[in-house]
Amino acid sequence: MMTIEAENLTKRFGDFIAVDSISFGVERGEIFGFLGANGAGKSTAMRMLCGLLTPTSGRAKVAGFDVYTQSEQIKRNIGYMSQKFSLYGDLTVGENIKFWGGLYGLSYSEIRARKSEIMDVLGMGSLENSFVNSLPLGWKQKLSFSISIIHNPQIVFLDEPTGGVDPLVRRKFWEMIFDASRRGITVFVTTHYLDEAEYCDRVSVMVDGKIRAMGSPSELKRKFSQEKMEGVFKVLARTAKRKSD
Amino acid sequence: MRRFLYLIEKEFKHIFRDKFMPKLIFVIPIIQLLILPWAADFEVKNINIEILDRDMSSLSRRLCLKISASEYFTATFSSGSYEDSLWKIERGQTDMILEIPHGFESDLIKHKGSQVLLGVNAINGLKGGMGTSYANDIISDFCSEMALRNFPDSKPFNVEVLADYRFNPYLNSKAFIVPAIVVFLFSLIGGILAALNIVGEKELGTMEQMNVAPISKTMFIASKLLPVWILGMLILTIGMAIAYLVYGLLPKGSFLIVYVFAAVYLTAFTAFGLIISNISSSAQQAILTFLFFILIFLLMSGIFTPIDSMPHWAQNITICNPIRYMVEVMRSIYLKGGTFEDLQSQFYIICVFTLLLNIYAVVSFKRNVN
Repeated sequence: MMTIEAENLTKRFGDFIAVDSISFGVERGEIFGFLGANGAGKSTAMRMLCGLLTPTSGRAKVAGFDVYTQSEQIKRNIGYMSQKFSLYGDLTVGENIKFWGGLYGLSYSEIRARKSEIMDVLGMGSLENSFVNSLPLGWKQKLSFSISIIHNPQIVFLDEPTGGVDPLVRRKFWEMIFDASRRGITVFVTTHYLDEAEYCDRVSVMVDGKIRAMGSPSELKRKFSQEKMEGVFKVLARTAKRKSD
Repeated sequence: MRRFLYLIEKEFKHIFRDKFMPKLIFVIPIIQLLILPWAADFEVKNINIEILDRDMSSLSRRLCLKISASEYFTATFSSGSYEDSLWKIERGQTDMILEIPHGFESDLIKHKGSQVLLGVNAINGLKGGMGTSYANDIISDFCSEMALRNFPDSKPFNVEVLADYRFNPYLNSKAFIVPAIVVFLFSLIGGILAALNIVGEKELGTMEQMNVAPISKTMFIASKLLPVWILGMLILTIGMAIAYLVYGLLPKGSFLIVYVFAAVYLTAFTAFGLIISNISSSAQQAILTFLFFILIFLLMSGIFTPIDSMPHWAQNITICNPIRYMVEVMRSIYLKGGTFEDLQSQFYIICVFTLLLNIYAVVSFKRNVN
């Protein structure tokens, strides 16, 4: 069953075509990597799928809901974590969990259960009452991810979630992503760390607003006869005409 | 509804955990209310008048007595020259000079008329003007009294102008200025807090996270508005307490009407702050935009200068100034004991502001970034 379906999805800003008629599908529980250079249109595409931007044309369904008319239902069924840090620094770890849990409609006992679960998984038991501002970036990102799936969404959108984080934490972060995927949560992730692309079940590569290649990492490497995803990406990115920003 | 409570709780935590906000909220209004009314002092009691009595007759002495008995004047007597007294005005030692010429009494009796000289320091135009008018009143009063006593049979041709300063008999500027400053303060704090609010989340980056959360625009705006509104009402209460404790001012009308009006008005003004927050991309931009509006609102609100004395085009601008109406309401309730019936038109105007600004606050809130 497809949890994300897009058909000829397009977004124009005036004369500029940010996303140019892309079509793809993502299966339930899949880790789908969304690659592309800066300015290729990744974020715009992701925003349309999250219900933050209305597409100019084309069709898309997320978690079975239409992006044009059912953005409120979509929001209830997705999690989102952006490259910008998005927890409240002046609230404690516990308060952030409680706030976002509450906002997604979790009951008080559910919040409590999820809170102790998150603290266990992250090994932050003693930090429940420390302000999020005082945590190191790696922990903030992991906490951010845990909170973005606090309501067990069908899909979680991750917009360059590991930006600025050291390799060890990135590895840990990906373990959390695998774990979420095993629990049946579809993961839609953009990244420019190409080693991370290898962890995905399938990836698509966007160039100038279009999807130029899509498939599992091993398929793509075979197709472009490269040893690493980095090579695949370089071959495709070389064809870009648009300047990155 | 539970979601709304979570949002409100978070807003209050933001405000009270900030190092600066609680100070801004409580200290600034208190300090301003203690200082501003004294700076904007239009008090016309205790005008210092120096009397140069060259006549030293019983009639001239009677006039002197009448003036010094008035509570508007503090009289001193001098036998020096007019120039000496003028010098005292220049040094700020006195505000007015009254010179009663030699032969004042005999002129009055023989010619039924005489002249006195009034020298007035008009640097403070208001004080000078009021002083002149009070002195005129007293002198003309004196004339008709004397005429009646000395020539009971003849009817003196005398038009008496009676100035009756209603509602604020001593033109006590505190009674006039303090209620207006209370309005200004709770508008200022409410507006600033609202203006900084949404833009703060934009700067932090939490706005995006909020945008993908399943909450409606209206609920989000309401969650931003309500805490600021509560704080604004609190400031109003603190302001009225200071007005009573420091200046002895209590509304002649009911507290209930004050709160009813303030409740509606503050909803309008915080929405105004939120609109600024919505359209700004940084806190700096929000503050500068807010400053631009609040200064115009302040100067065109009638707090310090009467709207009636503005040019016609400027009066038209004040029509769009919400503070103006609340100042009118507050002054009316404090000084005249205005009732709801008296203030109906202001109430409807404030309601229109509230409605339009709140609708626009929700509409101008854009979830779609880019």
